[in-house]
Amino acid sequence: MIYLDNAATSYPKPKMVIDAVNKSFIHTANPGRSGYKASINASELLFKCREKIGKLVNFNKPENVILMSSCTMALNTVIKGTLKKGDHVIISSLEHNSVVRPIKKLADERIITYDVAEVFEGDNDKTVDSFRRCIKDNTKLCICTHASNVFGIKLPISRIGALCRYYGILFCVDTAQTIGICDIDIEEIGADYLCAPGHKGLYGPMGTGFLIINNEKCPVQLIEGGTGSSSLDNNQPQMLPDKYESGTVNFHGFCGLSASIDFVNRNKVSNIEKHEMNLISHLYDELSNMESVNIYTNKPESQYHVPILSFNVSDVDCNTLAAHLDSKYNISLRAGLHCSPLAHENYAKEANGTLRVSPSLFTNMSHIKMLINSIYYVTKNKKILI
Amino acid sequence: MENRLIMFQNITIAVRAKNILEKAGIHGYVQKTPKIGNKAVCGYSVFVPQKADLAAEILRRKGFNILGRTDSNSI
Repeated sequence: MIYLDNAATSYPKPKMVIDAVNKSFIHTANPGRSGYKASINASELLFKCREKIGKLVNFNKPENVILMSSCTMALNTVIKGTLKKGDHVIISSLEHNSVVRPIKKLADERIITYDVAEVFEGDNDKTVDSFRRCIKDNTKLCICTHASNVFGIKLPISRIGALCRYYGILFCVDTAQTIGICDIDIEEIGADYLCAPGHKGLYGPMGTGFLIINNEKCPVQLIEGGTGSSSLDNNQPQMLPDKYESGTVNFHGFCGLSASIDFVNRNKVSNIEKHEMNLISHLYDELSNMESVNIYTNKPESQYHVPILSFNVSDVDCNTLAAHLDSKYNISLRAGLHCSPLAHENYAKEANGTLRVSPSLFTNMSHIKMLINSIYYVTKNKKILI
Repeated sequence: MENRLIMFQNITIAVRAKNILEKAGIHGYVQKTPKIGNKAVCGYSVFVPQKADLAAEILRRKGFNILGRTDSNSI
């Protein structure tokens, strides 16, 4: 299989990740619940994972690294745990439904209001201005993706963070498409909250994600329950990370994530980005020379893009084309709206979805050439799909 | 006898404290905080066999919230 859907989840997972997950089933117990060796060992392994996550983004408070089931859970925690009646929120025009839906729900319930700041590809000044124009007296939170999961367009998050600091607005960054692919420094971007998945650019197991709280203002937790601490108190502990980690943590998943961060560090984030950008640039060059291929963005550049490319072939439904590539060439690509209708509305309104290519460190040039050849064949023989 | 058991609110903080002490050359073990008198605490501690006073001082300087200290033998 030629797998090019790493923006959904990375595949394959490195062997050291699989080994770490397998090993985690041996000699370990429920972390933070008991005092015997196996339980304490499990807690120490989780702590190492928190430390590694923190170091990855230059953050040194491991207890403020909250282990969650997904980036979506982290985003929901920030959104629902921070906003109160009368608050105003700013989101970007490239948001995923993991942001749009919880925001829309709160707006429909008349708890909050929100504005969408337009993102201008390749023009950071205009983008920052667009965010600035959305600010109101009651703006409490600005939440935006670091890069679009559909078009790969990067947002100038350090500048947006600086804007938020200046106006005293909480700033939350969704790094779903950048963690492990772009170097991230939480202080440099000025994020109060950083949300990330563990299973995409970090090559960890699905079912892992995290929230980093870089602010004294802790969102209200979404769930309450057992934490293995302060059990006599019927109130949810407010100390971190217990406040947000009721119930048993996905220990096996986070053992895998811990190993996967070692894998990413060993390969270096900058090298991973360079490798993937090289592949996606070549793909861009070739596809843009094909007559009936529509690409929605400019040629990818590290400053403005992550290695994700969306395109369509004229008159061919993207889902039909994806199915054809799978059955005929064993190429796995995602087609459709990619859970981001807002991004489509702004960048590919006429398209009913796109085909998305997202490589990984395991993708090589022969994979990309195979895709190019197969798309070329389709453009010359469209009638087989229409 | 120094109070060798340094108590914290949760396991994460206790593990962090243990790691910092190790970097300072002081060995410690994370354990569940035992019942003190009639009260179950449900927290975690670091048992520091030697130099417990110094250990506590280092941790306080690092900003740790130490809930208390006791000696495991006295519980």
